[in-house]
Amino acid sequence: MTLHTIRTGSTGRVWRAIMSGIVCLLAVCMPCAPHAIGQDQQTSQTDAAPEPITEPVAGDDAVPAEPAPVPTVPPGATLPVVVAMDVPSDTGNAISIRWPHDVSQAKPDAYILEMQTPDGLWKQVTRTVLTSYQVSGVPNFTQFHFRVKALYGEASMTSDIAGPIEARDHWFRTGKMPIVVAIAVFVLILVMFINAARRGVELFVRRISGLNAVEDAIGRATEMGKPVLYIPGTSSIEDVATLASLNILGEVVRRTVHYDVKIICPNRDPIVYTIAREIVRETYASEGRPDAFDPNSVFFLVPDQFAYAAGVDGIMVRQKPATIFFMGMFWAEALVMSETGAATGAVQIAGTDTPAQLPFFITSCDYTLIGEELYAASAYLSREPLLLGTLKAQDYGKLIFMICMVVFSILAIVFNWDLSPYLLVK
Amino acid sequence: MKRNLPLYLLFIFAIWGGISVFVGKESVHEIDNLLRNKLLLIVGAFAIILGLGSLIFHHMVKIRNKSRYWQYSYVTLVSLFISSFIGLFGGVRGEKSLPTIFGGLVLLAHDGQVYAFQNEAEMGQFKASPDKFVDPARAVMPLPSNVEAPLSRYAASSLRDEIELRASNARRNGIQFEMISPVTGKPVPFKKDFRIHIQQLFEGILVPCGSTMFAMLAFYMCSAAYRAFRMRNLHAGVLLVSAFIVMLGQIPLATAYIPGVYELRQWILDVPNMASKRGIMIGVGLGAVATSFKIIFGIERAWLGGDE
Repeated sequence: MTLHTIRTGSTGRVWRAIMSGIVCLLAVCMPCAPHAIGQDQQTSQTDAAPEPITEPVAGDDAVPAEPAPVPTVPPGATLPVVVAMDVPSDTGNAISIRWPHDVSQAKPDAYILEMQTPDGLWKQVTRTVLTSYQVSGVPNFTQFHFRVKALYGEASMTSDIAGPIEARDHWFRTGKMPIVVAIAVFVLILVMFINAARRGVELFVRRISGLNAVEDAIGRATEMGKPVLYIPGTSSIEDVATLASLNILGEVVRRTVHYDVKIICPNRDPIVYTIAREIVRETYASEGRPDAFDPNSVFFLVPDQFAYAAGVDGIMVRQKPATIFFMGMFWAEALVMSETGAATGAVQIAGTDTPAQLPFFITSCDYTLIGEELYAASAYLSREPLLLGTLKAQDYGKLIFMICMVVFSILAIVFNWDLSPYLLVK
Repeated sequence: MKRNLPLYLLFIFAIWGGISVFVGKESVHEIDNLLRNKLLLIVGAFAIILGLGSLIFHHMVKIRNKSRYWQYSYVTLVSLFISSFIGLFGGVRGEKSLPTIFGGLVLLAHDGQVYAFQNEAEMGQFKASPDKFVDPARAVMPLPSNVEAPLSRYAASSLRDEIELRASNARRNGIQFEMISPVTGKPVPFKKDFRIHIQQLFEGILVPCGSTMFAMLAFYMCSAAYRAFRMRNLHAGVLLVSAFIVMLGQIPLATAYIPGVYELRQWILDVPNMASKRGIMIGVGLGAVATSFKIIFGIERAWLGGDE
């Protein structure tokens, strides 16, 4: 006996009756079913507020059919209108979403921003009281949909779906335009002064006492027969202050070669060490004294900050250098080293662009190069016309900055012109 | 060529780095990231070898020449080789082959819980019939989500550190921290392990020595402040007065009893101090740009050892 024969027999009629009943029941429930299925497919998380609550639109004052206390939105509340767009002129991976709130309408307690991923699932991005949000970290060129739920206590309203929208990376970041303009102006001034220097125009450079003292300090070391200690900062090669320090090292070594003074250069960073060593070696060679170069004079000490400070302090105390240079970027170890140097009686010349360490150097060193003087030192010491041209450009750049600050302040105070949107870098 | 090749390479890489600030294309940033991070990391790794070579050479020369205080060079070299050996064979947290003396605590991960035993035999009993002894109430802690069972040497070592931290926190707060063996039902005594690994050296030697150096900063600050605040001229006098106000404004007692001192302190920090700081920062910014351009366009060649 097969299943088929059972269904066609008397028992089959019973089955048919049962099936008909089920079909009838399904037919009665049908109006709700497709909606529920669709919701299951679209939403990854269950919504606490029942779906009918999200359906009412503005002006819908229909009384709920059931007497149960179903949460309702306040009268006059409107559906949020969601605007999604790719963040302009960025590096991609970000989409900006706005849902402006009409101030004349009831303000929701909060908003829930949801995003539909390419696999069709809705996921909550954020819960916020703000009316805009930037979704970051999304893959470029992938389409997303967004919707916003406005929460009024237990009740909520869901906006229409915005999208599809995709994040894109852009060729030019217009938010960086102020930097482009500033660099263009600065390069123009730079080129102007370099050309002037090439033509042989005499360029006046103000006196920097800390750099004038370099010659005397090395002379002192010669007279005392003691070495010169050069600390090229404690930062890595990526720091411009370290590069400036290495440029000064070349000039200092040139003078030590001339006076036949020993130089000691302990390094914290291994890359800085290799470059410093090359600079010292090449300078000895270029000054015609390659034989005088002591490979032991430039060495790698230790990468740890305070271990380096302890090592340098040890060198100061044991070798008692006549002159100590601190040039580059320094942190908390600055005072530890410079105070030890001061205690040994050495002439100390420091230069750093770290404002936090400047007071320490000023108090414990004989001369201090403040901020941009560190970058000017190489040009000042070498007196090369081309380098002096860049020094002049630096000063004129500062002058332009000062003029801009005064003019923009007057415009803002007197004429109430706010130029900050055009000047801010995004 | 020897001179020009570095200049060409520098120009190309520097311009690429500059362009990537203004270009938003992902591919440009990927290449920049490769150059900036990965390539620099590789160069750094090779530079470390050169650096170590330099360190060893420097101290060998000192020992060979019997320079002043040459005995200290032995300390440096011996320390270098011992720490290298421990790093290579002990690992970061004792996960390598160097011996570890456990302080009477054996850990086992079972069913998402970490259990402590007094010795391996107890743990063996548990493993033989876990259903008989398993008791989540006697677990030391839940197994962290990032740790997999069975526990590796590294994971067990990290968990022991975590337990030690919890125990010391509990002791500090006057709470009794007790671990019960699920097999015997007796408390498992917790003693510190003796482990030979690089973290041990770091925490036991380098951190305290670094802290000592850092602590000395306070005394150096006092001596520097004494020199700076001597009223030799008008400028030093202004410095002294403003520093005095700033320090007073920092003290709760002074701010409570001297009206306006906190506001005055804040004004000094926010207006004259900030103005000079920003002036320096603008100068530094322009100086950094000028230096970068000088190096990129080959005007400044001191980093190559000169023009020749």
